[in-house]
Amino acid sequence: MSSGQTVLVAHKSKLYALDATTFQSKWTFPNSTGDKISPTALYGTPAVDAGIVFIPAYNGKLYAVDLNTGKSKWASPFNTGEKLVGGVLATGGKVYFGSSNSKVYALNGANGEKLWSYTTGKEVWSTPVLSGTTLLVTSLDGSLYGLDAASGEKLWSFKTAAGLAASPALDPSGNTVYVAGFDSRLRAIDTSTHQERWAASGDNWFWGTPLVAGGAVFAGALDNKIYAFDTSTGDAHWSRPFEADAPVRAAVVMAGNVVLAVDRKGHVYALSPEDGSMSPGKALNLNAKVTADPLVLSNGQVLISTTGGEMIRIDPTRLEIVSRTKLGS
Amino acid sequence: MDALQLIGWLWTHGLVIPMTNFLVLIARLSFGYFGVAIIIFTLVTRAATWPLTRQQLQATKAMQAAQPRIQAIQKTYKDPKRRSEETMKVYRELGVNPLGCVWPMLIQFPIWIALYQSIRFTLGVTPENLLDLSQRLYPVGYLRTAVPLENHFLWLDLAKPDTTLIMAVLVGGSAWIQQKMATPTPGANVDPQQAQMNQTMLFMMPLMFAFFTLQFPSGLALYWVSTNVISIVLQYFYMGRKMNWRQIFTISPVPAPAVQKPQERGPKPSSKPSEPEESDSEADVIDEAPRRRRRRRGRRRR
Repeated sequence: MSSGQTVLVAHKSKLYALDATTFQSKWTFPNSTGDKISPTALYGTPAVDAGIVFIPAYNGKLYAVDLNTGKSKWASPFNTGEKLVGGVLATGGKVYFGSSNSKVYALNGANGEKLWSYTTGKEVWSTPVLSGTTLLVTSLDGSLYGLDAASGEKLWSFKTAAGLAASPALDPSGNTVYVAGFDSRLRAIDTSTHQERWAASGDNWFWGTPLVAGGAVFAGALDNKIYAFDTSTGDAHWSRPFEADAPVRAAVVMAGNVVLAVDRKGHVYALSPEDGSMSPGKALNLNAKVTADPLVLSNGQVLISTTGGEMIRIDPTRLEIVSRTKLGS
Repeated sequence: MDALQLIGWLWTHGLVIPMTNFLVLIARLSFGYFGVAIIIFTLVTRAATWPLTRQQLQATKAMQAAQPRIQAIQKTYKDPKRRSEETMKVYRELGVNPLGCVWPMLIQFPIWIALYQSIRFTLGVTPENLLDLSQRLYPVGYLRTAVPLENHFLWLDLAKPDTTLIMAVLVGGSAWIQQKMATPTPGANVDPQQAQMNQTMLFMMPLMFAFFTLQFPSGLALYWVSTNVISIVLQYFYMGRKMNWRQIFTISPVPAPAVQKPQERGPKPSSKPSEPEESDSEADVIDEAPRRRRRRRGRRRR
């Protein structure tokens, strides 16, 4: 993720804070000189609020470090006891995240003190989103929960047919939330009535967070396809889904005027949001495995981190590699 | 595709993927409980391998029945080669293949490895495992919507090793009982080296499995316990319910290795290899011990 002049990229058990212009390393977490921290691995996307970076780690702990220095901000990390796979939502001095212990937590961002927790039926591997004062969070128990962001009280829930690992995506109006899951369905749920507006099917699980843009909702699936549905009806927005070369685990993003998607084998596709046609006519092959979500930088370029620890900058309009850097080198 | 790739493809598509789908199917039918699915899977596997198990039980039964004759051979012949020949002759007469006990064991190894891989995929130990699972499930809605499965069973997280030691004790204990039931009861004249080896095996195998239990997902340990319990029950019924439970739960002492008298070392020059030898020195020495004890007791009484 990026925050002002800093880009944060995780690889294995290390988080790299890089200068957004030069891509030079500012600091790493844990640092190489002192901290006796062993985060095991970093899966979830970190978040920044009030100059603090919140880092969810696979060892079950949430760390808070200074955005400029990388020094710990809390006396000790918050330990949930089970692996953290999803990302963090940090806003208004509060931190929201889910854990594999099935709980959703709200902490005080300044000191890591627990404000509340809510227990779902299974692991929470997604990143919560805020819709007004309601925290929306999905769980592997197959439910979308609407929790009161202040107290953690359950306001409503919507049950689907299988697990939900993808984070929910909110319509810009805030009236509809889109959830995609292991039942191979993408659903539009009304945030006021909590009823399903429509559901559209894919041929395998949806894992990446859907993208809502220009009256359509886009989602990659593990059946090697990228789908586009009309936000109001759920009808196919394209004449047929786009066929990728491999499962699409990472979220699709809007980069300039193209929908950019990366499949698991590292093929990058720039698609027209209108008809799903490929912009330069062919995919860009990174020759690397990719599962992390691409990041759109402030200059319009897209940053893709590979599972092998490479950081690749792409020009989405021409679909060309701008730079390729090995993390830690 | 070279031979190694072909083996790998067959392993994955012929064993691991069908097993994974079968486990997910049973789990779905068991309301998502993977622990119940493993127990049902064990029952199905044992039913499928019943012809081999029956062969093993027949061999065990026949070998137990042959014990008096084997012991007589051990008492009669000193030369290991000759002893082995005579023993094999008895086995041939009774139609026993001593390797009949080995096949069911060997067939278990690929099942264990494939089950280990299936458990890792099915229970999604890591998010990558779950991603891989999506590519391994057959395109059937009933299977694909079954995930994620309930990986908790009793006190166990089936995706992780059991840290309470309970499973290690259950695996080791059940393996020991099963092996003790299958091992022929040693007689007084048994070869001490053979007895020592049997005793070592009796403890080594269960200990080894108990150790594995501490390293591998407890789902695999649940399979081991289930399959051991099924073996115990089958052995009990197949042996005609004539199990001597007291004998099974008794740790039989190993006869001390006999010390040969200097003059008795080596074959007697006069003995002919084709003829049965007379009672050998080892047997004499073993039999000598109780005699000495009786003499001592008699002296004390006097």
